[in-house]
Amino acid sequence: MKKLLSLLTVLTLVSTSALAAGGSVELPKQPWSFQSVKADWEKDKIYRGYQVATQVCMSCHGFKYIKHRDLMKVGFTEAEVKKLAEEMEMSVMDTFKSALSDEDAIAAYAKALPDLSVMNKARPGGADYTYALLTGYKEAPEGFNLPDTGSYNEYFPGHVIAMPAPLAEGQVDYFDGTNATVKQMASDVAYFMQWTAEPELTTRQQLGVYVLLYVFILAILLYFTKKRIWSDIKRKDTE
Amino acid sequence: MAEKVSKKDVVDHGKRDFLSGTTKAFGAAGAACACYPFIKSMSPSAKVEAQKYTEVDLSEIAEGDTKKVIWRGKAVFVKHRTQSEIALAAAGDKTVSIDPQTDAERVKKPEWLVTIAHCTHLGCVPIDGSTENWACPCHGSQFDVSGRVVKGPAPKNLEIPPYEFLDDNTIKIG
Amino acid sequence: MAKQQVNPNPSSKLEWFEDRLPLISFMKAELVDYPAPKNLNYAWNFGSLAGIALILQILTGFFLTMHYKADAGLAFDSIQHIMRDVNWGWLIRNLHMVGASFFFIVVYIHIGRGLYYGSYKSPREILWGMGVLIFFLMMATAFLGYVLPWGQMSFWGAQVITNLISVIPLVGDDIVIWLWGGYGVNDATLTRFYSLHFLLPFVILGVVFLHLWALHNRKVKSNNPTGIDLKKDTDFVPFHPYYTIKDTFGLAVYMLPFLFMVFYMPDYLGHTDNYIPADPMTTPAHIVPEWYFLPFYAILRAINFNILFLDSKLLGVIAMVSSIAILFILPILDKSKVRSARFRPIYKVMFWAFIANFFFLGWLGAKPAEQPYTAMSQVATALYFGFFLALPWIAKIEKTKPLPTSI
Repeated sequence: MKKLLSLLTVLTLVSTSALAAGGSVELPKQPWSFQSVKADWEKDKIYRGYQVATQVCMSCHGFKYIKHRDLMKVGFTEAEVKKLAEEMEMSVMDTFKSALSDEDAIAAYAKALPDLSVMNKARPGGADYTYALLTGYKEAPEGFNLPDTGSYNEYFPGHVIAMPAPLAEGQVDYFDGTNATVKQMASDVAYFMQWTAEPELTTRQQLGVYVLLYVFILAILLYFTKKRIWSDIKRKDTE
Repeated sequence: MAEKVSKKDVVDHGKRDFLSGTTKAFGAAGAACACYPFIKSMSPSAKVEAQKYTEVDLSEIAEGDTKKVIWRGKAVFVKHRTQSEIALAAAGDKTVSIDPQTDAERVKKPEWLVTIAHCTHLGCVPIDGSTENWACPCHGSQFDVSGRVVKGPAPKNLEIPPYEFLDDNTIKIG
Repeated sequence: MAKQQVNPNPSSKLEWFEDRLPLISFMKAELVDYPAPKNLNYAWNFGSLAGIALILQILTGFFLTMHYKADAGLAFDSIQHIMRDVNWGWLIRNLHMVGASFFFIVVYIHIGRGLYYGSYKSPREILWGMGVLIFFLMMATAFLGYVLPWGQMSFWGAQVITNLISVIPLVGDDIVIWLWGGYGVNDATLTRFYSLHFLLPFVILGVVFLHLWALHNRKVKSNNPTGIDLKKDTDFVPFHPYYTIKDTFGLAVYMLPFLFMVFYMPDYLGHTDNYIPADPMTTPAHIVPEWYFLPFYAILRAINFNILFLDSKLLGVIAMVSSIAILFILPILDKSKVRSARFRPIYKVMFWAFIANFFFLGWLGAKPAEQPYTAMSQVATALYFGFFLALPWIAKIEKTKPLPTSI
């Protein structure tokens, strides 16, 4: 039966990973700080991502689950949050709405444009995908049949994406003077979108270590208790 | 038959067994901690907690009028009192007996009475009264122009929420 | 037999109570003194684990119901409300989500153990049947639950699976419309799926009680790795403390991978498409059911041909339903007197081949419905049913090893 258990474990892992790896183009992996179990959200990177999101993305997309007040959970002070909201003529409790209404979007693109709050969880690859997509705009290769309404993107499934390249060098004036390259902006906004998609990520990862450690110790204690209790049975059997 | 496993087959492991004691205590502590998230999940959510404060624009409330606002899910009266009502409230200082309190203790500026609009009996929202300023529709308690109880069954005056004047025309409740 | 009566002068309050409701003695008999074979191996842990997994699902689910909104316009948002605003909501939802997958892992192993050691044979046919019924109910519950977040996979999964019912001749289409409460999956469907998803776990709990009753019946009792009937008192140990501690230890070991997934890979076994709100206008490119349905999904899709007047759609559904329902008649199909695969050389090989084939079917279920996968699915489906249909014949030709007289 030990064979059975180990075989089942292995087969389960193999079959599920085969299942998860359904993507077509291999996405380049970025070194995201949130991948460390100890990581906290980086306030400055969120701030830069926020600048890209509000100044670029939000002209067409919304973040309907996000309010300015949420930024206070990643280290912004109440005064900072209030100031940012006022700059956008919003209250701290207003959700991030797209500048483009759904009606206008339908008129222009024949569909409402997707909300970006949980986008990083809605695409295989998450932040890596967002980053790859934003930096993946290229000239279509020779002979590629690109329709007028689309742009060529290396990482978009099918390579024809309706969204024109959203980022251009120097598009955003970063609060900390960081050079706003396309790669920098893509990285910052993908990071910001990871936060909007799963704000609990860092808490979850930090807590998990303690929970698993606890269960591990408990399992060891239980193992020895079990051994102790069963010892008389085993002894009797060998007598 | 089998169910009669005799007593001597079962070794008494004793309560003083250090290992099983430790394991039990350790396991019980973990189980107790595991209950916490479940219990806590029923407490006010972040969405509710975010509504800790309510700001009220006073310039919208004409003299003599009362505005009802919501603060943390509770109704709050913000009353712009007239000079005669202020005088009436001051006069009441000597007559209220159920829960004696002076009007001055209950207001920050005499023109503005800010009070929780739930009867201290069982929580109904009082309406305009014929003899006193407010009357509770549920059990007939009456409150004066300072929100003090004049006639029971309410045991206490209408509660005053924490609030502050941000400027002459704005208060922040909470 | 003299009519039994309560003692008019009970010596204690406990006796007074026990005379009226023998709850304590019942619990003691079933949970403390229950004689369990002393040679059970760790494969026997998965029964109690399944019970705990069920309780955890009911518990976490119950707390989620306090925040979830079963309304097509609000469901998706309410999940985000749970993940963001509700205190520890993310933890409770992850426990529920990952818990569903782990419940299936545990139950699959539990079924596999029953198959390997012949736990379905006399006198455990009803015990086994109740188990298969639980499995059916679990699948229904899991399917209904997956619809509730109202993402793209929820919606289209519901669409595809409910449409299977339309294969029922004559009345199928009407039944589907009745089930939907509309002419497609809609708000009414979501609300009733929520009601059913709340109800079914308690039905499962009821059947689990019957399952345990059939097991604890003193004429039946637990099977054991040798599969032989145990006759001596010394072959048994009282359930407590021997199996309570062993099961608790097993639970802690189970919690390690389970909580690892909850804290570090909560969405790994799900689909990214389910974080896109349901859109009745657009079907996702690749519809895949949850992993635990994949082997049966492969069987469904394997049947892409008509037989006489029966079309492939109907046959596919029949094949899928029978692939599980055939477990009900397993005690009839397997006529071998020997229970445990330890003493059945041919059955042992067949068992492992069956398991491998089952994983293969699962893998195929995640593949697109095109060649060569369809042909592979057909072969694997044939092998799946072949296993069951060969059993009566195997019982005749198999030369079993000599059984021990005692453990």
